[in-house]
Amino acid sequence: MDKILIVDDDERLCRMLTRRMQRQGYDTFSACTLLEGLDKATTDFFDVIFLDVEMPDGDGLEFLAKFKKTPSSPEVIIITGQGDPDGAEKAIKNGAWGYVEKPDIINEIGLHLNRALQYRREKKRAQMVPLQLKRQNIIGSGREISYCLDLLAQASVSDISVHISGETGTGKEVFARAIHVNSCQAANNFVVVDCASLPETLIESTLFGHVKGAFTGADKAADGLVKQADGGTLFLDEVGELPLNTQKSFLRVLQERSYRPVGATQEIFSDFRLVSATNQNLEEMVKAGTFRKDLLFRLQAFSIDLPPLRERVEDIKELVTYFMDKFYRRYGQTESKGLGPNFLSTLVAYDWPGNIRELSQALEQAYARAANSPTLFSYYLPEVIRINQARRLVKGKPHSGASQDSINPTAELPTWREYKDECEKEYLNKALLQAHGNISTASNMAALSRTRLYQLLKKYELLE
Amino acid sequence: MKVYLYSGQHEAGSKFRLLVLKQLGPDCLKSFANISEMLSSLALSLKSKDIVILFVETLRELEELLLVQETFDDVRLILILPQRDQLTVAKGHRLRPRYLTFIDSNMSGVYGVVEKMLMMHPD
Repeated sequence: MDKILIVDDDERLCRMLTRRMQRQGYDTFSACTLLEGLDKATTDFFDVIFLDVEMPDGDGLEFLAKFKKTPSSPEVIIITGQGDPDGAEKAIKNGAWGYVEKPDIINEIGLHLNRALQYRREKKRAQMVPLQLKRQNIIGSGREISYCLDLLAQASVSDISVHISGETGTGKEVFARAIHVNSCQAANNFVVVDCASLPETLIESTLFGHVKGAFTGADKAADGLVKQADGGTLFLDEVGELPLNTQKSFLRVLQERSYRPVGATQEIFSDFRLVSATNQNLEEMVKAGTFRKDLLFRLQAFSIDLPPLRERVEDIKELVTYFMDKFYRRYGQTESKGLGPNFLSTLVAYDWPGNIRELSQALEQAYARAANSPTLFSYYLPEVIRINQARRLVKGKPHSGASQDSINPTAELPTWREYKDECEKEYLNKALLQAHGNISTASNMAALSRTRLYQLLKKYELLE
Repeated sequence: MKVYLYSGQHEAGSKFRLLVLKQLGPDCLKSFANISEMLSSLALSLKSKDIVILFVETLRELEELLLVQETFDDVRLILILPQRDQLTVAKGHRLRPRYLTFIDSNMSGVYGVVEKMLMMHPD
């Protein structure tokens, strides 16, 4: 049974609301002071707390964060006797579920409560999954990748369409596969559609199949990939490459879940989960008229933007260990190789425009060059990476990224992560300022997708 | 950019190999008639985004390839399957091919896909 706590100094209102909610089947309690309420919330397990603002022992809004931090992390709905826009803003910024005025609460309490409880149930369901998440070769434990894994876990519990964006080599297909493996479609096919590799003349018949004689060379009827994905996952890779006329056909499939094979008169049903990916800016493509807005809307029901490797350098060590183990098995060696003294620092200093794929290739090249050596020295790495490190050492300062002047030379050096976070936040603030708070303008200026910009703004709590 | 072709030891595979050879020329194509020979060669030379064409004539060959599916993780795989039944197709998709077709299909699709893949990554 859901448990509710009402914290209000108006005893009559407390009694009335308690009775009303008990009649509706909720286990309801009340408290007349903030301290009494906080004590109850700390020792019991409440799902929703109704919190009055003007209390005899303080301002309810000042206590909001404390209530949120109690063991059950309850949803808090602020109630007050008088309208106050600043108070409402403060409540929402501090994580309140909602804000209602007392004259309305008598009639609206059921609606507010139902919505808060529904949200809470869905949140709990999504939180259960990460414990069992199969990572499927997604390596790393840094904050950026952990955030993406949280999104992956949330996406996996529903059958919502997921769009994965990110630079080339960031692991979009690995993520798509992981969504499938962790979803209830896992027992069925994971079907890849490589939109970039299919010639335009082949796309429709490959996706939707065809009947015998539908076109020259169609000697036999064939199922398309959409049919083969029935009950499973259809992964549209490089979705930005889909021709406009196929986008139209595909939009219809997403709306109707049925389609007509090339040359057929009968509709065929297919129930698949859609995951798409691209390194292109689809919003820009919509503006340019090369991608359908309605299809983009369908694809992006849930978005995951994968960070480039240069933004998750803390994961490089784990990635190196993973790839070294892979190469050790692939090359059938009896002993694994050790790493030379500045091997990792050379890797960390590089920008990795080709991301994890480039790292894997660089390591494999080093591994192959060090065939008879038990140690991988940075000398074995590709020239471009060694040159970058050499230039950096000669200059005696980082070759790119944050400016030095924000570090006080006499102060203790912050960690790389702290320094990077500080610079990122500063950059985002500047971008927002210059764009007058317009997200589209800011994302264009920063050459980031809107999704990625939103993620970063959320991360640094810069969203209004 | 290399194209690797496994075409097995049966007649259909040999014919297909000759056709691919004619289409692509000998410079960028390396072909194999047996799986273990292909695997030991790929272990040393396979690069990300290389193209691998597997012309699979029997279910046993498909099972063997599934045991080493990690080999094809980061390449662009074109898979030609021996049968169209659901079980065979499901096994085929476990290899995550970028293009899937069948032995009894018109092979012009395969050539078209290879050509487009080579155009995208010509090196």
